[in-house]
Amino acid sequence: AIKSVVQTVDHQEEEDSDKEDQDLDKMFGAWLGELDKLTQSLDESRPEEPPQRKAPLRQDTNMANFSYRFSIYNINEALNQGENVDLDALMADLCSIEQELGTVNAKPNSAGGMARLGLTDAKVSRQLVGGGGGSSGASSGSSSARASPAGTIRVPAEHHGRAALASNFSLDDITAQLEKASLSMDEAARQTSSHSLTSASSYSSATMRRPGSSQRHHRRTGSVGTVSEHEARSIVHSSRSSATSASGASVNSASSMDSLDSVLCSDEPEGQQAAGPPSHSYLDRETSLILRNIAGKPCHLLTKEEQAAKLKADNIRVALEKIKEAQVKKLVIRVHLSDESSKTMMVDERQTVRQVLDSLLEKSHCGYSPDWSLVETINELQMERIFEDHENLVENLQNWTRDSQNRLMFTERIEKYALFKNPQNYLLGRKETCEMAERNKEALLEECFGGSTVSVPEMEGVLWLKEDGKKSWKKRYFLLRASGIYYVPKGKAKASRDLVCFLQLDHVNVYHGQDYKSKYKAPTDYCMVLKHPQIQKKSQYIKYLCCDDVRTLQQWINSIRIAKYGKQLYINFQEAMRRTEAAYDWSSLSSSSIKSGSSSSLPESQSNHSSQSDSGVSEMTSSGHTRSQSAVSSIFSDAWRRGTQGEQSNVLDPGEHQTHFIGSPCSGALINLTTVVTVILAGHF
Amino acid sequence: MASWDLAVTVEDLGSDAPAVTLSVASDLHVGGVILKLVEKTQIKRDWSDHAIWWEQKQQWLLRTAWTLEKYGIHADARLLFMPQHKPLKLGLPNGKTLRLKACFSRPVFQTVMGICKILDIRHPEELSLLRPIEEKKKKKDKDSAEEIYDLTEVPLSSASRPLLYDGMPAHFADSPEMEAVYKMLSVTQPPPAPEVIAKQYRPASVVDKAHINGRWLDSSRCLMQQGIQENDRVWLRFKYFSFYDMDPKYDVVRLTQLYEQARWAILLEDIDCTEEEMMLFGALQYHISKVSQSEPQMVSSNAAMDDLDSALQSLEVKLEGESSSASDMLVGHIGLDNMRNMISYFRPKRLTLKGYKQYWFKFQDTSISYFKSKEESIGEPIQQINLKGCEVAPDVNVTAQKFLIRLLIPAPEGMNEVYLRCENEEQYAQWMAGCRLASKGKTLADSSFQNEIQSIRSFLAMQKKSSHGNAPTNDESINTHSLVSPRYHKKYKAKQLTPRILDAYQNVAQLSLTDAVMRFLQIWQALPDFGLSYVVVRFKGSRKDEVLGIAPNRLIRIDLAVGDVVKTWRYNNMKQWNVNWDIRQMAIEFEGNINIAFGCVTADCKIVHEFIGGYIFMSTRSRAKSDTLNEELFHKLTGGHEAL
Repeated sequence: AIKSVVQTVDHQEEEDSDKEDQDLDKMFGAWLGELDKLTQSLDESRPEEPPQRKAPLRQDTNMANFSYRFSIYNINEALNQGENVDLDALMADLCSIEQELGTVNAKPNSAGGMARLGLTDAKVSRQLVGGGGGSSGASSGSSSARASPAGTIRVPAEHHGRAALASNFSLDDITAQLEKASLSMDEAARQTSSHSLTSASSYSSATMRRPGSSQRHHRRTGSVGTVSEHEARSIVHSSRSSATSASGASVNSASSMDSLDSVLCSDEPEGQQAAGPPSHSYLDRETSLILRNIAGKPCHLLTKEEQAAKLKADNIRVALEKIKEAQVKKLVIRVHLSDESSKTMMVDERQTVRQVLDSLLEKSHCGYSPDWSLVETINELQMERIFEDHENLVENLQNWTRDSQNRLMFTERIEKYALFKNPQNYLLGRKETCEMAERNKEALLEECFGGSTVSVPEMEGVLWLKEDGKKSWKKRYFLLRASGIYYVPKGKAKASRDLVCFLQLDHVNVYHGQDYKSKYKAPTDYCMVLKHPQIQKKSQYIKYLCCDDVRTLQQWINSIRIAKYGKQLYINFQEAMRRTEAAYDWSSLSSSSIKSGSSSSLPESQSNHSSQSDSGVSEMTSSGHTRSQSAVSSIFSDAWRRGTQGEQSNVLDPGEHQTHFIGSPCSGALINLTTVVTVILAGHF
Repeated sequence: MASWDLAVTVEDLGSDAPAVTLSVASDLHVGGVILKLVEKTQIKRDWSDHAIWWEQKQQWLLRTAWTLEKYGIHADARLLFMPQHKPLKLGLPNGKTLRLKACFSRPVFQTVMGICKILDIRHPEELSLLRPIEEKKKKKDKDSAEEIYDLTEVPLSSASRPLLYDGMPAHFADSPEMEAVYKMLSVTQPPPAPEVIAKQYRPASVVDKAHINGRWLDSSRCLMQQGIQENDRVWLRFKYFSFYDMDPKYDVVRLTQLYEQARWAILLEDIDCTEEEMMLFGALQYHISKVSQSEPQMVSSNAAMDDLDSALQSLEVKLEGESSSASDMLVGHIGLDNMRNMISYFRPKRLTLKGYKQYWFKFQDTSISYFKSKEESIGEPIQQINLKGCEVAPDVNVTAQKFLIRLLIPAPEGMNEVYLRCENEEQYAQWMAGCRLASKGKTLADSSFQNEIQSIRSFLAMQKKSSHGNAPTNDESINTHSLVSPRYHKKYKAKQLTPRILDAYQNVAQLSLTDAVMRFLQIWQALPDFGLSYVVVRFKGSRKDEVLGIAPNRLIRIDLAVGDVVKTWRYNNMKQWNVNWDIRQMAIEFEGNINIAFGCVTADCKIVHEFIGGYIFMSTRSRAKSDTLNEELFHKLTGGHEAL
């Protein structure tokens, strides 16, 4: 069965679900139970809350929360008494809260049996729980959890507004705290320093300004005490917006934020924007002034005050990063393997294709090769595209429609990096395939991708273009330039100034069209398609081009990739090769248990980890590295050639064999390209 | 040893003064001659820069330990005692003229190094000097009025890199005049008037383009040897289009001048580009000139602070974006009311002739929603359109009071085309700015919103101006004809050009000055013909002239009849090359027994030889990775037999 991103996670029917799915389920069940309990206790404790305002809640049991409450209390006191607040303590609290949020997030978000839930995130799952008492909450939760493709025009007929509002919980929560923190900082600053400041500046120190714009303003003019009109406006604006978010937070998380209520008028529902305190700032004026003064000064020369200010800034920075992390979306995806089996896994919205590939490779034990790819197939349009390693997977999958027949394939594709294995066939604009010494390949790649700018291969020639809305294909002379694809208009020479722009590459991706001879009556089956990634159905905005042979097609596709991604492609390839080599190192140690980071781990930590495990490789000198790299690629290309000739490939050394075949039945090659692995497989078994 | 009389003209005594006669013996070394000479003139001054020039042999006597005999100097030698550094008028890539002291005694390669040191340009090996194109006599009076920036007072220092003061070499901080010179060097020039562009020489063919390359000075010989006199005018240009290690932090002047050279190459169609590319270049020029006028360049700022700033800013944007579902309060600076407007809306459907209909529009986050009327705007909108990822294009005609925003919104079914018609300029500027930000996923609360509005306004103003005939350009507004090559002056009126440039402009309007300059250079470098220097040659055995294109990584052979590249040879495959100086022929051997040989028609074969050797030298730099320039290698690769 074809599954889309948005899936019913139903474990009875999940035939191929592996151990992980079960773990997920177990964890989720436990989590649900816990939350149910909490909801109950909360309902008991606050019976006066009207049900529709029953907001998502936080576990009240751990120490972090106690200290958190405590610090909120402190702030309130400070506000009243004008005492200085220990910001660091507050930051610590924020961090622990964040951690707590993180642990909740880390738990599976698939609401087993409870709701359809695919594209989900922390907010949504909390929302679900919050509305657990009433079924309306659950249904609205599921509707907002649906992957609604960004950018589509939709008529908001469904449950909207309030449901979405309530889900702002986590961010608003933290925001409110942050703002309160700075509020108290300001207050303190005003108390201690008003005598030393002019009236104008003390006014602004007590006023939240948009940190970006106002600080930039300072830098530009160098005048400190003036408040320009623009600035004044932004003061008003930002204080307004902060009031919004703060009150929003207190509405949404009424249960755990009761101490906040005393500060902010939040008895009213969100519609009413009670004027909050007009003053707060992430960094009060004084701190930012100090920071500006100390910029570039070595640490040991700073005064105590300055150090404190620096610390403050650092802490805020840390807090901001944490907030960002807490906002991470997760997505449960189904990845299809070439043997018609599939795997379910969770990806983080920040994960790149490379990271997802790594974790898939680790799980499937199918041996490392740079050719492993995630391929998007759009069945309805009969086209597919290999995701580039640097692309964000979630972003791409979000373009799929809800009822999409699209698939995500995990498979080996030799064409993914063929460009770098035999650059002479792609970069020199030659018509015939040819051989090149490894040394020259390196030089060629270095020449093309090593410089500050990447030159696009000179691709030009006659291609077939499918006329808009017609069945006929027409010949045109096309040229590729860095700025887009052009064609030569009738009766003109191919001088640059006369070229007509066919399309620019910024907004389109290049896909490989399949079997278009029968689908669209194309002259050949070597077709490429250019379309905006969000377009999922037949449209006049999709452009179809047909080449005379497969070689031309591959040259065009790869040249377009170079024009579009430039150096990034080469970086991707180098990274893939690094991992491959690392994998060989591991296999020689026969340690299959080395982990390369699980799907739920943060990208940062993951890359840290892999760089550690790569250490043996990264210590090599760069020149040695590239050499060994291309040695590997030559093995591949050799094997490929021999493989296609139907020979037994004894060229590969045994170690490589091994890595390829560990658990490989689950993997393998697909569609019209037989890869090295399958050929060898046949000989081996 | 017998002594004899040697006459030496001392330049500092004046042109009329008689030569100083010394009594010397043939075993006296040159240093001794100079010592005697200085004693005899009885002038007390710093003579350290002075040296003797032998006029007949066109040679400097720089080896002071060599004896007269070793040099072969006899009593009939015409010797001239003069400073090695003399004023030179230098035409810069930005069209300005600079007077500075350059070395006349060392190979031009070193002269350029010295000049670049004064001007604070790194990697002088990429530049060289060439003889200017003779200007027509008619304009002589105008030339004399030309402003000349004087740098002759700059002391000659030996430090490899000048001390920096406030981000610029210390000698520029000496006086306001010097600072003005630095400003001229480091800040891009405003776009030239269209007439100025039109007046300049434009190559019409590849052969025309080839002629300029005959003017390069020989890097291995000195200025005096090449007939360049004191106060003569030469051009300083980037010669090798292989720019190593460009860093906006250290390369302010280098980048600015490179940008200027690139800009002129495009305006004068020295390099071909498509119309779309020309519009983008125009938009970037417009943006660069605007930004460089408004914001003086920032001297190094603290990176850590920037981090924090941007982190806070992005958080702020995010917070505002997130919390806004509850509020329209976000619409900060301009006040919310301005972004809730009656706007005409039109969604073209096939075969319908329905026109625009008025709705009440509201901008929220990255979406616009519309309602039947203002009164209904509290309820559910008729439709909500998320603009994230959409294409926004202007369709404006100020004179006709047409202010259309065309939106192409991607959806699974294809692109949805939507038109918003604004009432007036002000409304248009705000909504257009909002749409553009939203298409990039930014809300109205983003700090760039005001800038965006401002840039749209200024562009509208420009269109207004150009529609009132060709008003003289001033600093405030720019004639769009100043941004494109004369070909487009004929093809489009300024008011037709404006929307096209504006179209391209929206993709670059957010760039900082440095980023915009870098982007311009990148696009320039990505042009297919980038980096090609042409020379007309005659291949061995061929009866017709052909053109050889010399690129940073390859040679191409262009058939003049076809006008197309017929053959490409890459330096990577080059095994060796030779110059037969007697018959002025170059022979190159490539791997696979490919041999080519040609004589040069429009340039001396030394120039061609130097180009090829120079590019091979440039390609060795990345491997060397050291700061010191391997001058010896350069001369080895480019010198030819004279250097050996």
